[in-house]
Amino acid sequence: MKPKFLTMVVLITLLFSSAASAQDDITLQAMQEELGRAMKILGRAKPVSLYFLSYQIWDEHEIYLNASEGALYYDSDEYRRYLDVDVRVGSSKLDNTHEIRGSEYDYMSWIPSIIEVPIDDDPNSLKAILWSHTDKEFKDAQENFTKVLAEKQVKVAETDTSPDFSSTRPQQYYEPPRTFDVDFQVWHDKLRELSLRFKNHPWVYNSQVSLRATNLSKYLVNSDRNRIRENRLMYRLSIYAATMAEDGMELNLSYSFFATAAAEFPADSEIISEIDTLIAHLDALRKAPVVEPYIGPAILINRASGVFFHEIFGHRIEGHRQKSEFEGQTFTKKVGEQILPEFISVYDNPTLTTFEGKVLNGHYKFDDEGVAAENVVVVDHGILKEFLMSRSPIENFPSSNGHGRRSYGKDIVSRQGILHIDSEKEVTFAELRQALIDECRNQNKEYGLIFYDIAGGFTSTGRGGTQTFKVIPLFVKRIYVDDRADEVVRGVDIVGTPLLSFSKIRMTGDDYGIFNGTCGAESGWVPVSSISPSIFVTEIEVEKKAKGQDKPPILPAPSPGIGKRRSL
Amino acid sequence: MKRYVIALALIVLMLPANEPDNPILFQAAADELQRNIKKLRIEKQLKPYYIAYRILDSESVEMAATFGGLLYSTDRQDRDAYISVRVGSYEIDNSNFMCQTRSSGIIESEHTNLPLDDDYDAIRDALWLVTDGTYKKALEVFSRKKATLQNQPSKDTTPDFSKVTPSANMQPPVHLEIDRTAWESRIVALSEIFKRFPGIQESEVSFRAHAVNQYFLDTEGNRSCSPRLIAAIEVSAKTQSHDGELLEQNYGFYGRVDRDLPDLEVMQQKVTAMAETLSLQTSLEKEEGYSGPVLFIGQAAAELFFQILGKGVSAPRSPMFENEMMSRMQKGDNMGILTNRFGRRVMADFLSAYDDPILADWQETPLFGHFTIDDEGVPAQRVDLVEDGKLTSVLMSRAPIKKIRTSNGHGRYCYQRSGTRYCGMVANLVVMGSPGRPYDELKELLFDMCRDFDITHGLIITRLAPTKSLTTEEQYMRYFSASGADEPLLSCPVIAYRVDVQSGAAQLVRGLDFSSVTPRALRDIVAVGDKEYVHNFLYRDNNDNEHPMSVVAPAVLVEEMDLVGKESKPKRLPILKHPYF
Repeated sequence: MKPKFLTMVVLITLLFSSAASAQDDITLQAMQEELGRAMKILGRAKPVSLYFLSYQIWDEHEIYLNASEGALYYDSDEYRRYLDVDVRVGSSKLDNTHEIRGSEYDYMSWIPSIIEVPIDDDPNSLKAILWSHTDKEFKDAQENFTKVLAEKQVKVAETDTSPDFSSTRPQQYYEPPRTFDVDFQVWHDKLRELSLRFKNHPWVYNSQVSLRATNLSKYLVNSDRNRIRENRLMYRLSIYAATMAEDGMELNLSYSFFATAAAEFPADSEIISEIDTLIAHLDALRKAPVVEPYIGPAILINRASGVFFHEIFGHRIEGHRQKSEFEGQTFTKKVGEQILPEFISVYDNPTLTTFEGKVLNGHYKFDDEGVAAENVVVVDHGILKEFLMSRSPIENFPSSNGHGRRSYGKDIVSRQGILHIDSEKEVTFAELRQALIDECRNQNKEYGLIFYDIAGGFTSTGRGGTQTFKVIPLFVKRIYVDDRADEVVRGVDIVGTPLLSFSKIRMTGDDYGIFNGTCGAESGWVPVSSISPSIFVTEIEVEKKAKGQDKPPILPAPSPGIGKRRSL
Repeated sequence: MKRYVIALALIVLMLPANEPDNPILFQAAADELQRNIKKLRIEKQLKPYYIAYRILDSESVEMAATFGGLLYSTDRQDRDAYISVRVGSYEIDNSNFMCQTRSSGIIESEHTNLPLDDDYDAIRDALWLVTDGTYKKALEVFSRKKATLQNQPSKDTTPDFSKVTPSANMQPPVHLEIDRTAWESRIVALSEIFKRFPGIQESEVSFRAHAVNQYFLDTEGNRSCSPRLIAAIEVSAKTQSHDGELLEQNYGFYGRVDRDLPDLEVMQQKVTAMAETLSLQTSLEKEEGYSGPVLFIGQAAAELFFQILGKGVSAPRSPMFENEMMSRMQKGDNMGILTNRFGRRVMADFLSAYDDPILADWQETPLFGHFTIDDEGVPAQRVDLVEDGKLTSVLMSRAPIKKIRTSNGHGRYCYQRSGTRYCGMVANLVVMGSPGRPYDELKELLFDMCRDFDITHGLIITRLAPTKSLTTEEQYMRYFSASGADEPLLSCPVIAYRVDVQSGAAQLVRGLDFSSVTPRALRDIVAVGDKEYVHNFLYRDNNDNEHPMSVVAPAVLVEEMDLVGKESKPKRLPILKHPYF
């Protein structure tokens, strides 16, 4: 009895303290007041009333520095606040967001509606903007709801009869504002110096070293009693280099370090070593032979595998794609069925902050609908269990698991956060490599491929297109079955169909690695991560990359060094 | 020895005025330009006959406020380079031709960012790569142009590019000196005015100042450094009339530096007046129409001349199009519609007009459109456009036309419907007429004409809607429908008064729009005022490029115009009342 009581006291105190600081927050307070006023009046409006209202404010301070060849190119410092207003009229069973079947795809929905609000905590001006946009959104929602009702009358019954909106637990959460802890003046010179390392390689046509520091504070107040202020402070240090092969093929490589505090920045020696590796790889690439179309065994190195899973698998387990009549619905009817080898489980867990000491870019505590992020077991031992859910329910999955995400100005859909591929059939990398060679012999192949880096890709999940994918490898090696050395090759894209590709995974390495990035889809750009071991597949298909027709630069780069001549 | 050092130092100090102030940037660009014109060539292909680098080294401050709250406040530095490469010859080259190439949209000059640091190597490196790409694109465009010419033979042998006498003109660079905090508090104060106007739904006040140094150098030997300065406060407010029609008013204060802008009190008075007018309009009934004489005064008279005459004598060289669809996209922006009327009457015979970018001020008022060197590195010149009503010249870039083979220093890099090109454009347009009549006399004349027309009220317009760039949605619609509506020749009145012929009482009206205005309107001018109004404004093309311009014009009385009730889609009024009021 006693211990329980203690826990309760602690909990109450915690809740109380966080609520107290939230009370002092002028912005949250103004949002709450205007929301209350709007709900009260519009909640009784005719012919159809408001049943849900959400205000989200993105308080974003972003510093971007970029240097190339020893000179600073960008030095920007922007502080802005953006607003999203989400309204729902009707009822959670049927509301204005309901998909209207057979309508033309609304390409206009891709244009974000950017609304700025004051940065100086002035409640009157904020309320005036909240008011005018609530009014607009509400009237649009009423109009749309009429269309939804009309469509219901004339079309056949829908396959998925789930309601349009799910309920959620009220959440109160408050983080006080944070500030950058990095001296950006020091970084001006540091970036200049780091970027000079490319200068001794005149064949590098474009190179950049950049630092993007983002201090984002997201305020969310909605009529379901959610009141949240969550921060995201991230530094991203990126290196990039591009060149062109003699045949006109454009080649580029990049690498990013992520940190949430100055202390997490890589040591200079580590950055320099990564730059040197990048240069060496790019040099090898431009001299590398172009690969012919190939079907055969391959290994995807951990971070390449992470991108592969994100593109090919991750986007297909996003909940809203199971419902929309525009979608191909690869996995919709496959819950409970085996879709991956039984030694593989897949989670999406945005609550993770680090993996093996490394920062995860995809972390968040609450999604953009104010739902606490959950670790979703998507695939358990090969069996499909669950989808990534926003508050838009689908058949058999009535509630959100905290994956409703967007960038400001966009409508929320379910998105990935941190996709985690877990394997029970792990071998050392040496063994994995041997397995690749053995399989090549088995299939009478001269060589197999190892994909070290993948830029990203395109995957068509839509019903109108074919259910294929294409991913863009950046750095690939040929591994020969005989004793020839590994050989860098270029000019390949991986293509295939998702279901078939996953069935070819034979085993994985024990070398889990992370990929941090930003993912773009219909709800905008969101930070994501993938964690994956290297995977060995018995069959992968590559095709020739479409190549630029331009020749490499005609004149050599202006000879370096003459810059020392400062006088005229 | 010491004396020798001093002597040397003196020599360095006494360098001729034509040395650039930014030696490293200029030298890097000059060296790369020389290397490229000498060596850049793909085997068996044409080599460039002309290369130009235009570098804009700019400092900006931008901020905005609404309803007493600061929306943003930023300062930034940019260094943009525009690279032009021409292959062929002055007679026929890759310019004045619109085709969609693989690499980018239709543009005459490729853009790249240059480093902000004065780093000789890095600047050359950036220019090198883009010059290379621009040359390859020029070759591609030129070959497609020749192919198109084979299919659509043209009798017009007007050259593509005019020659200029090389000149050097190095003016000292300018820098921004802005007290950001002071301006933040001023725009917040201006935005607070709207807290007194419950009828106004949305409002915004923005301030911006730019100091741009243009460095220009080309392979003909032109070298210049010329500064451009602008400082502007723009105010916009939106609301709905009692019957749901959207209403909007804009007001601007423009100068070259922030000192040119009026004192806060003066601005507060003007913004208050604007808010009062807009508030008043919400309660007015919509006008159904008007036919009869119209008196344009102030901004309205200046806009009348800009929109019909200014645009009409701009961009005289129309490009050739690779295909029909592109030429259709070109229609309807009203540029150059007067340029085929040389020697013919375009305005009433007591009116004359010229454009003079060199004018820095009109009496005490700074002119926004002032520059000394145009975007093609050509020294600006005064151009007499209309003499005694007859068209004598047009605004020329280096793209010749049949009648005029040389530039008159009005070239600006501007987006028209189908691409970004160097076009002759308005800088400081000055319209004069005589005899100039005092306002009361003009009004009497208006009343007399109304009596002749047998109408009880005359119309006085003081403000026309400013030319605005397209919204994202409009651009998108245009992109997908490949056309979009033609722009009307004259934008609708936003402040107009019905004046009683008997009593002289003026009544504010709303919701009028011009019906089928033709360039004839300028010939139908029957009288002009005796005071010039200076209208400074930012002309925004459809790619959001801003071109500072000035129009100096007297009030004018137009014999007869037709106005109708403006087409609009009324929206429901707000359901909730404004939270502040």
